[in-house]
Amino acid sequence: MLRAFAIRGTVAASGPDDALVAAAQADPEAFAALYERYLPRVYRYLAAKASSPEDAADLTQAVFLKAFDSVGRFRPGKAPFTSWLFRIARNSAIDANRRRRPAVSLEADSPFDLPGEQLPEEEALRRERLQEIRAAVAKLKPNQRDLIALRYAGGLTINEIAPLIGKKPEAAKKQLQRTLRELKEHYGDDE
Amino acid sequence: MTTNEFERLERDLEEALAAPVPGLRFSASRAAAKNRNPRRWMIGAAAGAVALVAAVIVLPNLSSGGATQVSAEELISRSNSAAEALRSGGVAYHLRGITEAKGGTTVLETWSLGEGGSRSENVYQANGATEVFGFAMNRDGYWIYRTASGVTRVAHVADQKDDRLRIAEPGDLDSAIRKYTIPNCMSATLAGEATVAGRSGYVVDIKPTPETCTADPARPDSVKLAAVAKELGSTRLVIDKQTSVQLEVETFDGDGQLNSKFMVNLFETGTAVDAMATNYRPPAGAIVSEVDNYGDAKSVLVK
Repeated sequence: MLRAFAIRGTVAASGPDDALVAAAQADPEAFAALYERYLPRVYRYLAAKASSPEDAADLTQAVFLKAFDSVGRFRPGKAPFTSWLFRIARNSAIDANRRRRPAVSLEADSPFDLPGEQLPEEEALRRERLQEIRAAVAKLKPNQRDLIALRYAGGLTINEIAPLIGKKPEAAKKQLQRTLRELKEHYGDDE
Repeated sequence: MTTNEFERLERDLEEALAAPVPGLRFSASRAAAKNRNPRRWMIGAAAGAVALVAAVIVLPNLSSGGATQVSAEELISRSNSAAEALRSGGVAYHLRGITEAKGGTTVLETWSLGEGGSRSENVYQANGATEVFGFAMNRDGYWIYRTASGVTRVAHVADQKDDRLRIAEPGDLDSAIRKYTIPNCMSATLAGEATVAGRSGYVVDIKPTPETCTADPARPDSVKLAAVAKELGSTRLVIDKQTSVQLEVETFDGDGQLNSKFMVNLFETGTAVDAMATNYRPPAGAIVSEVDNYGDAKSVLVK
């Protein structure tokens, strides 16, 4: 369980999205707080859809530049800011894939590791397991892969995903559950 | 699908899709000027490889042994037998080393006062971006910190029982070799002697042994390991004769290509060690979280 006990000098970055958006609408420099908050999620989402880390970085740049340019037009209350931002990310990824043959980058490796003293046996098994699940995800339909990327790479909630895919939250939840069941058929049978 | 299976699948998906986030920097003025002067943002790189060389091992004095007559197993046995005495006495040292790997370089600096505290810090640099990762142990517990994209996040663990947070204890040669060795699938042998940064050390080779890495249908893990046994990489360690600190670590992939190389270029013991170096405190502006264990610390730092 995490217990934040001190936050010094980063108060702006710790507020709710609406406050950060309002700040960014008033002062362009304040957009940096939104950038800081969403960079990891947007990058990971795009990395799951791009053909290389370099392409994901370029797409991330494009997404935040678009968001920077248009954040003044965002109106809180219609949809969560997260959904608004990921709509830009999703459309950017779609446009990029139209320009070139899509190659879902689910083979990317080496997630951030701390010195966990992980034994090589565990590490070899972990790599094997992650390769299996990436291969299983790659077998899904494009809309299913997108759903997985939004939920588990972008970290979006069902309520944030629903407006992105044009469904009500309950329907989005059922679609995710169906996708996970299908994924399970291709993965982890020996677990 | 049961709840447990569902949760396991979700955890695996999160891990599989947790791509390392590069240190992309944002500048509002640069963004506003993008049409006048479009430019690529600086891209840092993942710190995944940093962890590989972060551990530093303190061991008893092995200088009495002739290198060619002592096996790796004997080294472990002897280090373990003397470990308790060293734990009580403590060993003070300061070292600096550099890792060169695909994508960037990492400078490691470690200060150890034995039981009095220790601190290890990695500064990773790639493509003009810098990322700092470190951890310190002192009377206040464990501090684990990471600075990336100008933001410092710190996790503090008051409970020191989590073994995963140890960075340097006497007698850890056993752990060091285990760290690079898969039982039944790899073996460690003493390959000779070498000098690194003016220090004389033993060379230990750890290589895969696919012929002994057999699949046992009763143990699914062994089946998976046997399947990848031929792809396992090897490691060459140089271990300081006097202190048993790792002086050099080379890792190779399954094709024998060098993956990374860590080499110590500064090593000091005794009075040269600055006790203040282990007295870590979060810098102003850091986002600090109190956590219960190492797993939670990781989730705080990789946000």
